[in-house]
Amino acid sequence: MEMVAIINQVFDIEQKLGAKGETFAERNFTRIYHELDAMGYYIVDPSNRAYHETDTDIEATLSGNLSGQLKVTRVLKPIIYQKVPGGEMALIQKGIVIIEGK
Amino acid sequence: MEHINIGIDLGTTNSGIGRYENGKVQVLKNPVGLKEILPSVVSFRKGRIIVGDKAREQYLTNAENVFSAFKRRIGTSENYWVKQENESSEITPVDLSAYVLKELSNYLHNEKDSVVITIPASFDTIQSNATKQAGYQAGFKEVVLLQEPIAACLAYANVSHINIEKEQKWLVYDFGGGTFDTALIYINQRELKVIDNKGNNFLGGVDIDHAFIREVIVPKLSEITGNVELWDKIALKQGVYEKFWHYLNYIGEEVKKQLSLTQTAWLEVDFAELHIMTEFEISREDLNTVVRPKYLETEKFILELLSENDVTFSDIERIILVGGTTYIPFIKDELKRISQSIVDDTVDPTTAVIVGAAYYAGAHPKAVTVKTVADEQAPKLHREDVKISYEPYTNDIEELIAFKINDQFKGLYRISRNDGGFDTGLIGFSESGSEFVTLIPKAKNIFRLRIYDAEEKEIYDNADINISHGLYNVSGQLLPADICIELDNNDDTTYLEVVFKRNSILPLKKTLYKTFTKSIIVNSDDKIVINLVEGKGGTMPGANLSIGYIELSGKTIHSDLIQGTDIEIKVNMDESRGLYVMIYIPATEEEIERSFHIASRDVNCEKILYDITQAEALLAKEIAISNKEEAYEVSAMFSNIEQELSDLRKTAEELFGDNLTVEKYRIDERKRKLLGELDSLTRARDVYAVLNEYKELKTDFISQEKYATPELINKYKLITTRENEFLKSNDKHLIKKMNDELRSVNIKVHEQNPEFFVRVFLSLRFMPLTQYKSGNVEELFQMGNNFIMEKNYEQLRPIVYVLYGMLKEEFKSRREEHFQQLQNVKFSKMGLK
Repeated sequence: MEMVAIINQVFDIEQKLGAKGETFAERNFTRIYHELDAMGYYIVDPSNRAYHETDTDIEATLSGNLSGQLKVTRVLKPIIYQKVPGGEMALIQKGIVIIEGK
Repeated sequence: MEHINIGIDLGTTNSGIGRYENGKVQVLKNPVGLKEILPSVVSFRKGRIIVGDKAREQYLTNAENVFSAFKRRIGTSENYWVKQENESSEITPVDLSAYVLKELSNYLHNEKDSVVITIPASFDTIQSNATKQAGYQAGFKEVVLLQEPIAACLAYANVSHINIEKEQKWLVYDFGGGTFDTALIYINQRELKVIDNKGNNFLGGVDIDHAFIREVIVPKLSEITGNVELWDKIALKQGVYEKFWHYLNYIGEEVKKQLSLTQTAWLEVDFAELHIMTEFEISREDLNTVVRPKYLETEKFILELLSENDVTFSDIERIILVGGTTYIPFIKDELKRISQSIVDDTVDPTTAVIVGAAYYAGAHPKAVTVKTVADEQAPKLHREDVKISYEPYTNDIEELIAFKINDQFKGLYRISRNDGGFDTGLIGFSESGSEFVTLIPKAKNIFRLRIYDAEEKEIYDNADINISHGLYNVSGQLLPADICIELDNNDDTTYLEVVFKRNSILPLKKTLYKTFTKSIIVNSDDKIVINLVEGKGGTMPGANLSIGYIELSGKTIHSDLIQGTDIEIKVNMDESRGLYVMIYIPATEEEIERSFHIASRDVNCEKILYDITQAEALLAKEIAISNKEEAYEVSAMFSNIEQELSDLRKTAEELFGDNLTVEKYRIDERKRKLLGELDSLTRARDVYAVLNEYKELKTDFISQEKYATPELINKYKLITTRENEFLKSNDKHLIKKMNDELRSVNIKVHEQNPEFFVRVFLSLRFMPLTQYKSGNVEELFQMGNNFIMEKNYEQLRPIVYVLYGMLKEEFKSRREEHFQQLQNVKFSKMGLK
């Protein structure tokens, strides 16, 4: 799945820029996600989402202090869905995340 | 005669299931998470039973209730203890295996009575029977066992269509996540047999992964950071170092995969908590230093196996690879080196056993199943017995699904989301249950509720629970008509593209990405127009009410805007239908904002005259056609409109420049009415024409289908699945757009057909030299001829294009459709497409 590899790279670049506080490429990313959406790909960033063991759209590694509210502290790969003709979604990549307790 | 058709690989680390159908095997995907491989891990927590990836995640939070590698204990009396709240209960390896098998059987829809399950060659009778027991416990009526190395050989023999003429000996090399097994197989035309086998239940790929981090990655990081005690801290797994360990595992795995494809790879380490941000190169050699010792252990087993059976490598026809660890090139290379036999990895080593089990199942007839009376009368719950409540539309990312069963009931439930991203696992309940479900943002989420009785038999299945997030603003106003933008056609006319559809709920916003179809030079009179209208998509622009009009002219811009430049147009409409347009041109970073409110609508006189001119041109054509066809009544109707437009034009021209008068609104209204009439008269006929064209284009594709590449077939399917939508739209421009797309697909398909280029070349070849511009035309003719004789169509194609380019302009035939593409037909009115 070459598109999945490309989407992962785009997401990675966006994260790296975000970590440095750089916003100059925001429009470009909006456009990229717009085109991806037209191709049927829907990307979800689960950063800061509360962790539930019922969430099978992520592969989580639980780490560190596990008391308190567990949530996603780092996203290594985003969740990617593909729209199937008929309007439904299918999960094609699980998000790879690290979970910690806060 | 029915066959079993279903095969399961019940592995120590991972399991999977495959189906045999019509001569092929399909490895089934888990509906939850869509993976083919299911980790053989089961966890128990707060009454919830989870199998697979999510169970494995709980190693840290719930370690004592997470169970894996129970295959090593099956057939023994070594049981496990599950601690739940204050009680402990005993659970056997058979029970745990049954949960895994049951989870796999969930991937099937119906065929759940007979199955083939694989077992290691080393399993004795007790272990084999225990495996069968697990199968029965999982709900299968008939369980047939198959040895794993045999399954692997079957996969290779079938997938590669290997013909076994005389007897051969194969060696199976199975290096999985947690275990290593090797087997010597005897194979002839009729049978497959395990002669002998050896292995180690505690040697696997995971050992290589850990060694890679410990002996290659961490030392390198120690060197770079100067932190000599780095590994010691990680080994203690305390605090942030524990998180670092997991992070290293993740990147280590990615690099390992990369090194299977390339000789070197860059390892990027970005871990803020330890202030480590670095990258360094790792080579395959570095990885091999940790692979080699593990590999040598396996080599010892192979050599022992062979010598104990008086067999040498020269007797081995083929070594087949099973297990993910065999992806590592070093292992393949070493095996090739010491054996000089064929080392076969043509079947995916991670699913080879599943595939083989399914092939075996496809050839194995089912035992006659006796349907017991109890089966027939298994009590099921009907829709009305279960009351479900949930919010169908919401803006929260989590919603509650609650359900209640009428009478006294004790059993289990499972709620999952159809895309595979949410699953509760099996949960016990009595009479009622509820669960918070996570939603995909801004999408329709479809959930499935299944209920099982106390014996874990499924008695209820409802997959119609729909919860939509963020898609509806329940308290909004409806848009009474389409809002469209006017865009250029390729032929000097314009058309309307829908931005917001009629009956959408306000407020609405959308970003359009368009390009300039002409250039605007600073200080010139060039301009492009952005015109937003309210009316029906697909109708004549001039027949509709203009609600937003923006001109970008040479006089107002700061730098030249060249044709082909991108432009972003953000259109917002609020609840009271106020229009707000924001234009952004990335090339010059110019931003222009305008607001439009119905009350202060502006009418542009130039636009009125332009629209009338467009209509008059169209009318002239129509009248000529109708007269030719002797449709005099129709002709008369057109002439009436023509006359009224002509009068209107005179009035408009008199008022031109007099922008303050209220007359212009009246003129605009009149113009719209007349153009609306004209549009109705012509539209039905035009729509009919483009619909016919679509049919012809489809027929064309189907007749040439055998030359289409999978990509082109996909494009064709993308167009035809939307057929219903645009054919019923009555929008000739929309249909025309589809036709253009389909036409370009057809052209590409024709190009795949070598005959096509030969025909074109020959027609070019026989055109007189005088019709060509000067150049080495003769040479090209000669080359073309040669290529045709050699049947080298790849090289013929560029010759054709070059020759066509060398024709003098006036001789470029416009009848040949694909030549039309080579020409650049450019007419721009609005300046946008």
